[in-house]
Amino acid sequence: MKKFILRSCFFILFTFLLLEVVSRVVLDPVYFYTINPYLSPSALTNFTPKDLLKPAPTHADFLFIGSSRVAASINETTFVEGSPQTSINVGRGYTTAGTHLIALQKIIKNNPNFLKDAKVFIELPGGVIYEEDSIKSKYEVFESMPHLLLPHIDQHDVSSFLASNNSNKVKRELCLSYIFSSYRTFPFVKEYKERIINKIITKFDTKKETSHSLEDTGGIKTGKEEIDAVKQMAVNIAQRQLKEQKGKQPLTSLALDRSMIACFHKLIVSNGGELILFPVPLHSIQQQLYSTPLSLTNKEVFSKWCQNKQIEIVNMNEFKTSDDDFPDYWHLGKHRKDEFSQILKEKVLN
Amino acid sequence: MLFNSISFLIFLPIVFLLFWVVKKTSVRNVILIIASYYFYGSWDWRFLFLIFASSLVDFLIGLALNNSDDARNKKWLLSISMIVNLGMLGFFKYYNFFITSLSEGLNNVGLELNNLTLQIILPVGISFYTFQTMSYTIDVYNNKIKATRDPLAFFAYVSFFPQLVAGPIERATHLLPQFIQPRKFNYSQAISGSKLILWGFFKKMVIADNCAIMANEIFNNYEQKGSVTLVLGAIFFAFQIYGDFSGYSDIAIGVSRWFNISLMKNFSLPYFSRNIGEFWRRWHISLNTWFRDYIYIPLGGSRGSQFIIIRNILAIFLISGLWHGANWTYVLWGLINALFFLPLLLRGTNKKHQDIVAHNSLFPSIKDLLAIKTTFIITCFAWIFFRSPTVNDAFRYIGGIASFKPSINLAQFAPYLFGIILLMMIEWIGRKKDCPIDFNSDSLLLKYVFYASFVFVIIFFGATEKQSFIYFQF
Repeated sequence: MKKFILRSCFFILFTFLLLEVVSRVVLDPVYFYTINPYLSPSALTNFTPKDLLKPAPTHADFLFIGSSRVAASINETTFVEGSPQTSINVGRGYTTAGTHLIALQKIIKNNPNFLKDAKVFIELPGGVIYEEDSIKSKYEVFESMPHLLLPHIDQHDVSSFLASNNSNKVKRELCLSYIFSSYRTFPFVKEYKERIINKIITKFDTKKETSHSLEDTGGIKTGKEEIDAVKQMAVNIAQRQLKEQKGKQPLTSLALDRSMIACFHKLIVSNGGELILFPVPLHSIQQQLYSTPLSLTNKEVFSKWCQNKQIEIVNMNEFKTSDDDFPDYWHLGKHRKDEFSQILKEKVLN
Repeated sequence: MLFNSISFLIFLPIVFLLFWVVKKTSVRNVILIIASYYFYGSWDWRFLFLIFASSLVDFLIGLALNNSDDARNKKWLLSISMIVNLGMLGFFKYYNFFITSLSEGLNNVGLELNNLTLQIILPVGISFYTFQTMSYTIDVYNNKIKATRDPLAFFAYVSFFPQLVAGPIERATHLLPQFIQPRKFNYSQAISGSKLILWGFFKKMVIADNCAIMANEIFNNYEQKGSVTLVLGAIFFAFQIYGDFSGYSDIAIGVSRWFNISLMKNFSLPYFSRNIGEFWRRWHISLNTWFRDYIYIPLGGSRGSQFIIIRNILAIFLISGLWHGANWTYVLWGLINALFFLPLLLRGTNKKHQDIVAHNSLFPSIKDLLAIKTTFIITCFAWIFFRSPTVNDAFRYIGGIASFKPSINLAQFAPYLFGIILLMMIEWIGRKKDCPIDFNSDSLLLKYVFYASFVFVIIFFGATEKQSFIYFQF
């Protein structure tokens, strides 16, 4: 029996090690390429093997930071048409302001000139950018998406992550994903397989239409059933957030001095860049969240704070939208993406 | 507790180590009983009363049969066992079905029956262990086996966890002595068992669970699908049920070998059968031989007039259909199989093809290939009734195939068909082996790489959505 147990243990160990080796050598490059928005702005399956060989960018002239709304609204190439400049859109669904801050800090650490003379655009309202820049909030991630932090962290960050506000389950997930390549690539391969199958199905099955008015980028869901679910989620979240606003205290300029956006500003300016804030277009369901008395007060406090810090907030009032421009209630349809990008470009560069 | 769950992966090594650490057979049986009751109770602890009652009744009746010389008395004892076991099975599995059918029948002639259906949960695997305990009492009654005086061995025989909820349905003559005799760990048995476990997981997680995605999609929306898609739906279900059930059986047999307990083979490459008779000798062998030994032969088997033969065949196929579930679709499935089988029996060709196809050659002859294809089509046709929720749906499904409505979404099936082809290729290459993935090499490293690659395939290509084993519901 000893022989059987030993052989079984050896086999399990051998299989695990082989899995780790295969995962690190074959799967990791694809995995990190697809989840690192600085390397790949496109969705999971929209890459070719030669993309993997492309070197990581060492400098950005235009950098767009934010959620999938940024991915949906900004065509970054509009800003560099006919010029050798570099424009990078790192708008990605389920990324937090903290994740973006950690990512930017890391890329600047590796390339000190990354933001020299760059214009860095951050979306407004922009999630938790107003929250305090502390370890507890900076490392906070979406429950189901801790892996989006992986391309940007090192051992030191992992220990900081353990002190964050995240649940124990999320902490365990991130640690395991950080240590074991097979642990992180296993769900990736599964999702990749599902997406390829869905792609085939949507191509050949008329029942499963995709929304041709949404860009398949930055984690935006384009399947018809997915969009229906996302719409419902938008309604539910808006209702919940409206309730949560009751009893909340308005922002203060003192709190903003310690916020994530202040940290972004400091980081960008100290590295030779310029911070520009721009409002992303919103569906009325989302818009109502920013029309409450509390939000209007916060907006006023925030505008004054930006004025004091000489941070530009681009006025995009002339870009008018209707609810029909948001096929999933969250993201601007791709039919208006170029127009929005063009107006933003003209406003900033002229 | 599903075999393809983390909890089972923790449960099994613990039971294995505990089992072999102790030396005494009786203590080992206690460990197996506790483990099996824990395994079964993980679905619903209330089910444990049923299996305990069934085991106790048959153990005591076995002893009573042994001590009795009076033929009438023996008949009474056997009847009590049948009433208790079939009564439990009938109540939990068929009560609502018969009441609903009766009510519908009476409605048709203008009579109304008040709603007498009950909220009954079907205990997992009740059909399997009920048949196993009954086989013991019948064999004791027929003097094929002496009643055991060892309650621990008997309770372990009834509840042995690897085969408790989905078979193979074992006979007391084969399995019970294994719990009575002292056992020694057998290295080669354990290794061959491990290979079977791996192969079972491959069939279940890669083939069955993936085919289930497509089969469910097609059968649930069959009215919108084209003819070719509907044909593919039946094929996907054929492989779903095969991968699911034979996968379970292989895992059960493999796990048992870890305990040096041998279980009977339940599937033997059924989709390479050249006629429906051969198919039924290769599909769910433990159930079909049970029906043969305890129903068909006592009824007279194939001896007697043509009427008797036809009656006996119809009886076992209809009972087999009903055994699978309380629904007319299963009954019809049994009837269709009987109708396909009867001509072979009447012509005396049902026992043709005892060896595996292409026994002495690499490829089958054209004639064999055509026979395999025809048998497979017949089987798939019958599966439509098995899978459809109602008889009406089954006929409409077949009507959909016959409508020659064009299918527009065929490319989506390519990855699934590739999986099926891979399964068939592996089975074909390994058709003469105990386990098709038994890889012979002097190099341990090569063996490890070969089996590790199967683990990779299971991990990466197993369906994301975990499906329960189909046969649990029976």
